[in-house]
Amino acid sequence: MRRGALLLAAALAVAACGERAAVPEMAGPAASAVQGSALATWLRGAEVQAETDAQRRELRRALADLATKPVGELRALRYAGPGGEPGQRDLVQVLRAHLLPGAGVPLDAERLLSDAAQPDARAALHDKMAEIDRGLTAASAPVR
Amino acid sequence: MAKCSIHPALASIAKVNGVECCEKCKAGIAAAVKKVDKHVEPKGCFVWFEGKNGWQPIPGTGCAHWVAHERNIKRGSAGEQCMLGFPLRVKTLIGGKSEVELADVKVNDVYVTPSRDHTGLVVKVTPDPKNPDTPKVVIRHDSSAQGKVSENEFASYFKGKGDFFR
Repeated sequence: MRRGALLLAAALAVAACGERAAVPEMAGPAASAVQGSALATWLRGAEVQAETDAQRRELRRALADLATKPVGELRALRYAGPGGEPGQRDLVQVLRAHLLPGAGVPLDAERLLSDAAQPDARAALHDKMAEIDRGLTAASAPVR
Repeated sequence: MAKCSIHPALASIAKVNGVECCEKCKAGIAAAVKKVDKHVEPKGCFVWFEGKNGWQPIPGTGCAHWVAHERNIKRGSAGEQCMLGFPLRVKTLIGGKSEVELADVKVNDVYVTPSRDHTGLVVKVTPDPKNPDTPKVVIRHDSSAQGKVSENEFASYFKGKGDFFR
């Protein structure tokens, strides 16, 4: 049922812009057909992908900045690269590198930054930060 | 005449990874593939169509995607697959698999970090006669931190933490 609704939402959204997806769920700009802010939609269901604690901490820092700093400041922020090299990536690059969104939900960088103050986006940011914190705790737990 | 899968008003000029493409999409896919992070393998199918953003590299590290290609694992829905139908998510990759204890790990078992956010493939298991429950395990993985597909020891690089699935 949910899969059917997603497919329908994606198909409607794609039809509205005169394009259709090669694979419907993969390609539709589903954000426009989903309730709530684009950032919350993008974060909900996004899988965290990170190899090291340094990457997890950098992703968490980016999410915390997004939740607390003004848009103008966010654009100027720099983050370490995947190998730890300082100042290699901007905020959107960090999010794209370590968060895999659900069902091909597109990332509109400008809307993402401007949505950060929305209540549902704040809630989604805090949920994702809590998930990363749990991952960091698991990584630092003693070996079984 | 075949139509473009993304722009149905336009004729397809070629199939790319099995998808009918107009000239714009063919060029968009080629441009997106060039933007895929250097460590990601294989690169040619690690792109998707993002509406007004056009064709883009798929977000994420590509770790599960690499394992899926290596093991020919095709799972999940279209929205969580590369252009060739291989899964992108760690959780989808290990779905339906059974966890195995470290003492029973074999080559080709799938390794996953404790937080299920990174994965790799067991490529070497060396028994330790003094500690039969803790063999020396080498994991090959698509490593964003090292910028390439790398081989690392479970005990040191991964600090002996994580789980194995078969």
